[in-house]
Amino acid sequence: MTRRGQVLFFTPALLVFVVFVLLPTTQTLLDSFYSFEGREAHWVGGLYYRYAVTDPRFQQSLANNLVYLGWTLLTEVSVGLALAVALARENRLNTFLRIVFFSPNVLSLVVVGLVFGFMFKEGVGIFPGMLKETRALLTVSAISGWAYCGLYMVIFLAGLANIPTEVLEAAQLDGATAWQAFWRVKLPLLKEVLYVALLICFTGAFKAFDLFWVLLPNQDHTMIVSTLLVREVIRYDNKGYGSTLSVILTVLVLLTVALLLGGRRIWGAWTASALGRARVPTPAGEGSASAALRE
Amino acid sequence: MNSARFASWRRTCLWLALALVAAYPVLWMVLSSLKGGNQEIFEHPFALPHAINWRNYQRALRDGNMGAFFLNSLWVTGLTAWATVWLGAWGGFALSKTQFPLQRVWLGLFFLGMILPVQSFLIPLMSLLNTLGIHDSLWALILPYTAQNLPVAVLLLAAFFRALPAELEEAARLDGVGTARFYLSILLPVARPAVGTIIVISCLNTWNEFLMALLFIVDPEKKTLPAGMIAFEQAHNTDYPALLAGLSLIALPTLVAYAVFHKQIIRGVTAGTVK
Repeated sequence: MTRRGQVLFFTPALLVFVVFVLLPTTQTLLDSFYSFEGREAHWVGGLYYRYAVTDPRFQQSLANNLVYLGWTLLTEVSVGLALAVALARENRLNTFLRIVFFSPNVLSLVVVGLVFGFMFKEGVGIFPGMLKETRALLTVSAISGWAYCGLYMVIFLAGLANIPTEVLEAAQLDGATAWQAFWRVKLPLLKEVLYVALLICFTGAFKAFDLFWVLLPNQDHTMIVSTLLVREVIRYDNKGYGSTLSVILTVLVLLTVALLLGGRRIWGAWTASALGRARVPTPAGEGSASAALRE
Repeated sequence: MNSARFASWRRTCLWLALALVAAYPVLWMVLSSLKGGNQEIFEHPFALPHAINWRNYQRALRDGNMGAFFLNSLWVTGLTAWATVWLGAWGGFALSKTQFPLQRVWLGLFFLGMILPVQSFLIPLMSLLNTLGIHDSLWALILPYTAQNLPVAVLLLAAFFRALPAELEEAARLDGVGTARFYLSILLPVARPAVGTIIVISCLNTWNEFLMALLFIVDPEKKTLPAGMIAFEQAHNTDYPALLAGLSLIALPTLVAYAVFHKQIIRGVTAGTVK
């Protein structure tokens, strides 16, 4: 294939991506330094950033994002991991159960939000009162867990399938209980997929929008940054502040990815040396399991 | 022996009960969409419908305009998946060549595109679509959706093509097969699993996308299913049987596709993540 042919093949994809993703992203950054009145734009520098830091709605929204992240680590990642470990063995029942638990993942979050919204509706619903402001974040995290724990289950199942059976057998021969085998053998060997899972959960907690928009439309105390910024744009037509919030959200997502990817390197080096030290046989049978690992 | 069998039987029952709980919201939605009225839905939430009321679906299609939204969603999803596959396959093919200029820069940019949340480019995109004159048309969704799905498609296909043996192209060239024909009649058929994955990811993403659909489409005739459903809910917020029928219309195509292609869908959804 000639150089010209390559460029010809590559240009359409790059063009669409640049025009509809990269350029607007750059524009968001630029717009965040302007104030818009009608068609006129005034340079305001870092004004909106300083405003955001002191804006109680933004502080509340960001705090809600973090609380939501904490809860979804439990309802999505931990539940997914537990399901994966419980359903790891290949048989017909487990295959069926995996298909059922993953199924909500193909649903639109608007459908998920409205269905649970009807079930939790004051007055008519089957379980009223779940969306009261005091427990709304927990409820949304639980719904989100229902929708996504299957995704994490599948990710962890892929990781578990990669663990050589000899390692697990060695642990069993050494008398490790299921609990010990999980903490000392399976979890350390799931490190790679655990990072992927954490990456999805962390970035997902900042990207979230649909469930909050559908389930908690008029609650000020349960806004997250993305619903706050859409409200700023739709309701107040405040493009400058909306862009600032977009930039902050983008930076948070990119920072999280960078930290997790950087953390993986450091933790990788640390666990490698920890495994080296763990060669002394212990009652848990860790010695031979790690020895099997090293071969 | 007997107690062991009892334990395994009990475990099976417990898991099946848990599966029923997990499936209950969807079952409730579909069963309630066939029930006679609000009273039957909320007073007997666990009962089967007394009689099948297809009228609810008629009302969803007529009062909620769900038929038009359904066609809009179908068109947007189909075209987005088609464009993503073609542009992604071309881009991935070019990018898989080791001597491609600035290869690492492009890979890095597409990786960045995979991470960026929609919120990063949402607001300026509204004015850009205005400038391009496609605001409030289905193209205002198709083009951004394609752009958003492209990074995964390009990266996945570039990785797939690079893993193919180089002899494949050499042998084709020795036989006098040109690049275009090599690409069309050899490379694409070989890449079927990767292409299938990309179709699955982009179709699910597009069918279910809400945020851009909410902001880019104002015309009530041009809405796609999720955004149209919100408008329907706001206009008829007490006609629960019809609303649940509307929700079932959004969910059933993905659930049926999942029932048929669950292996491909699970592989597809995790492919973008595990790699």
